[in-house]
Amino acid sequence: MSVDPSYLFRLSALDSELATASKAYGLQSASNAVLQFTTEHLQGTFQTGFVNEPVAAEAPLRASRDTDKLFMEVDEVVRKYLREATERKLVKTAFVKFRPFTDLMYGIVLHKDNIANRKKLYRLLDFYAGLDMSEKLPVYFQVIPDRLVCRFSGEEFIS
Amino acid sequence: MKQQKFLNQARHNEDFHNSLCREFEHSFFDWKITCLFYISIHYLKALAVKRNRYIGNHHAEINRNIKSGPHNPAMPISRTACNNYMQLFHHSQTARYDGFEDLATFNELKRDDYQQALQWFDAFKKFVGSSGVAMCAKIILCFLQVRVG
Repeated sequence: MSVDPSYLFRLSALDSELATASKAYGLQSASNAVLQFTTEHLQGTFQTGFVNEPVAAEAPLRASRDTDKLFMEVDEVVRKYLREATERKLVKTAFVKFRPFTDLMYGIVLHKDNIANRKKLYRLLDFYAGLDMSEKLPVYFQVIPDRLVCRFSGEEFIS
Repeated sequence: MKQQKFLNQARHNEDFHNSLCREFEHSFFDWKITCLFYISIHYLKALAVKRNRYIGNHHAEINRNIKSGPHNPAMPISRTACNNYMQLFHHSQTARYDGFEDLATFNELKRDDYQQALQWFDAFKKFVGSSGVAMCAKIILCFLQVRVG
């Protein structure tokens, strides 16, 4: 299962925003900072080596945002990815544990848990792990064996 | 000598991993996974010294620099080796996730992860060895271990 390039674009854009804000405000770490900046519509060509296509014009970013909102945007991308993986029968079900200002953890049950399928699942996270943002906004995938999923019945299931 | 420094660190971590396997056969899989990753990162750094490449100090930078692509990585490695390393990276990160309240469930999850981590580690270590970096003694594979004594 290949990763939809639009997910990679969005994550890269978020990474750039965080880097820009960190430099602009001299922040060592943006993790616990309120980021205030204005920006124009995101436009331009994003060349990934996978595909060349214009980044869709984005709505103006809010004048201020906090780390939780950045987490929410990352969460939105990951949820879309996991829902797509569910449609493609790679993922059976998935849930999310969100710890504000801390991290995002996704518990994932695969239809067939083996090395090849874990490799496919982690493709999005492989990309994310190369972004500087990943060290400020940790995102984890935890593969859950089918026999243990009942122990997570209280979590927020997303697929 | 810098390569030797990384190899010494890798050996040190392997010794620790082996002692964990001997003393705590059915527990501390989170630490065993973390050990395997840190052995791997030291072997990777030793390889970088051998190839006279600087791959960075923090994880995101290293992850970028070993992955092939148009972003001009410092030391791209084979896709298979990169994947094995990244799987160890991801699983070591999750091994240190402290958001699970049920430790029994956490230990079961980590036991499953560890079985796979051993395979990724074995393959990654073979890759590094085949790239000309001197390897240390064979790691004890906990699940195939014969009890001593």
